[in-house]
Amino acid sequence: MTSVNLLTNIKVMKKETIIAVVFGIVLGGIMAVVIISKTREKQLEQTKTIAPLGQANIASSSTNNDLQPLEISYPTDGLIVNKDNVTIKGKAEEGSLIIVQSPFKDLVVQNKNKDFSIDFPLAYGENIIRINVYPKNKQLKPQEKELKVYYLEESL
Amino acid sequence: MKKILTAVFLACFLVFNVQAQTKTATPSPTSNVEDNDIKALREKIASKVAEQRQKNNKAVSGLVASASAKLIKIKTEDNEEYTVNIDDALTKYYQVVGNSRKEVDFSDIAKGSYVIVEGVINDKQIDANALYLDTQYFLKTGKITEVNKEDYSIKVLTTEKDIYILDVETYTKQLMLNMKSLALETIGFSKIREGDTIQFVVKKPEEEQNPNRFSAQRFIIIPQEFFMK
Repeated sequence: MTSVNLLTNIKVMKKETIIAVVFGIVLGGIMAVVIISKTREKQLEQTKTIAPLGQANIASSSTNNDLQPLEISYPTDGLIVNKDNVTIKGKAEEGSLIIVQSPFKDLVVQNKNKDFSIDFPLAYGENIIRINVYPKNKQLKPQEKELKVYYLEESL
Repeated sequence: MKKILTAVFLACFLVFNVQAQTKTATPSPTSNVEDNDIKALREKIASKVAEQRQKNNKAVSGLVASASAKLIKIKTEDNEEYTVNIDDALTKYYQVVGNSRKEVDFSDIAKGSYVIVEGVINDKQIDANALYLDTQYFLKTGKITEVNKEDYSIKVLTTEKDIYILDVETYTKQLMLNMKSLALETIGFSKIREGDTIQFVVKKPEEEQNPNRFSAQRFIIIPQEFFMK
């Protein structure tokens, strides 16, 4: 009788041991998974810190995402006109200072709206027109564009 | 009798001739209509030609790399090469003089001349209507890195990272942006400082000299304070 009890006791003990071992393995596994994921997170955080810094730099140095790029809709480069002036039309950052320069004339305009329209005199022959835009926000980079307009009489 | 006959013949001839002349001198209503039609047609053709010219005609400028009787090769500032096809009957040659043009000969267009070619452009081929000899200028923006008060020169680092030395001549138009009024004011050399921004115009000399040293035609100085908050 006692031997039977002992056997059952051993069986119970074995069951407990097995459960304990299994529990230990599962717990160990969970711990391992947690540790691995934490390490990865840390590694990711480390790599991430480089990218946001760069982005932050770009943002702080230019914030150019919102900046209206300088666009010239008229005249097109290489255009021939038969009069001694041209109306330069385009878009630039609101409130910026626009300096239009050619070998014969300089003009400064402060654009109140994004769209601008500037009457500019032309000399006979080739006119290299350089348009520089200095944004109101001094942290933003100035922009520039150059185009050639030809004031020529009809030769046909 | 002979004399009378000759006189009658001469009289008849004269009367006939005068009549014929008066007939041609007085315009008939039909010829008037024809004239108007021709005039209208001419105007239509002229406006069509002008329209086509406006559409297809473009201009390209550059230095003449080579010039032969029927063909000229030019190189633009961006180092693009164009072949200019010359038509003896059509192509005209001019020199830009002040605010007008003066007709010149083909022989005036030499290697190294700066020309504007006006015509129909197809890729890198130009069927030239006219060639204009002109002066070559270039405009740059940069920062003043050195002001030499001894020889009145300025060293500039351009936005393209090129270094130029500009000689300020008596004819150089020197302007500066007024910070308050934002207008351009004429200044003297003493007002120019290192660190200021400069927008300058230079005339390219015909003769080859120091490629980075030029006499300034005009410039605008934007004081460094303008860029401070």
